[in-house]
Amino acid sequence: MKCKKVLRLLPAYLDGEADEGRKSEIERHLAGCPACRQEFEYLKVDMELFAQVEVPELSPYLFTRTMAEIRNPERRRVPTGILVRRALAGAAAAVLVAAGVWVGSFLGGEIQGGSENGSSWYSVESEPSLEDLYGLALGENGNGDDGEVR
Amino acid sequence: MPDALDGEVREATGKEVVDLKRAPDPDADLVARSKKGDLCAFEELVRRHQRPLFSYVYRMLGNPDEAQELTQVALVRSWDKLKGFKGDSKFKTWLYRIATNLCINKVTRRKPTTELPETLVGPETEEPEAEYRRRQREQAVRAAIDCLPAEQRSALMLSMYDNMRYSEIARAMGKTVRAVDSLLFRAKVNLRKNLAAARRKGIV
Repeated sequence: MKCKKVLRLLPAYLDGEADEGRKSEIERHLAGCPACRQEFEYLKVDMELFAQVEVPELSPYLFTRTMAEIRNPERRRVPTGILVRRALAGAAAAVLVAAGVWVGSFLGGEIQGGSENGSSWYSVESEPSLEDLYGLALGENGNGDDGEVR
Repeated sequence: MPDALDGEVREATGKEVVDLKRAPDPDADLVARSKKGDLCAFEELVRRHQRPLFSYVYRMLGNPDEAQELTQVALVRSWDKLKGFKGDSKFKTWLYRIATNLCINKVTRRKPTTELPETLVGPETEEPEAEYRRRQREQAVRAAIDCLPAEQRSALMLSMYDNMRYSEIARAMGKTVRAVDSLLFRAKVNLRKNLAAARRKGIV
């Protein structure tokens, strides 16, 4: 197994989620690769750091408040004011949509073909490149290891 | 990286099936009674889950007041929607899904945090050096968590603190096992980046 694949699988390996076959491949690789071993150590250190985040005490009133809320017969009744506001918001949205359709049909000729190249308006968040990980691993080594990726 | 993950994900999916067969839901009886309107049974469910649920929500939001409020909302909502719970997952997983959706909505509505603070808060009073360092470290870690996108944060918290398997996280987040694996990979790479400045300064 190459470094690239090992680095990608290390977080799952650390979480005990790598299957047996891959686990032994990763372990064999780690035994012979100082750069990946170093990266694995960094990953463990990071996770230990996060394990130290303290959580404040739970309020003793949370339970009482939760059960009181559940037992409250008024809870599901929506106040009239909110119903009126919701109706007004719905009407406003309908007017905006109608206006949008009208403007769209008016300008339709001008924007036709604007997306001929098929490019998307949005970008999907992708995984960071493995170079990010290598860069980090190598940048933090600081031990003279050339960190060559095999 | 689909090629690198195929084996891992297939295996994890297989485990999911096995896990479901082997591990009965310890809350099943209480859930059944609660569904019939037994509030005492539901009280017991609240007692069992409120603390870990609050911890999860707090780690997601970083604010104790918001965390208390959102935990309460999640628990009340679970009561309201209990009749719709079919038992396809454990009650705990289903409850965490409700909380996860609430947390992700809350986090994504906040002004996005794109950068870590350049300087961390210094000591306001003369406190022992060790305590000051501990607080600095905690602030750096908290800031690194706050910079993670909401879904990565959620997957990481469920994995680290609630000891959920990837298959259970997938259910709690409404994702596939492969998506969870990818979220966790990205979360861990991003954490490393987010901590880099603090690490250079010797804070962590």
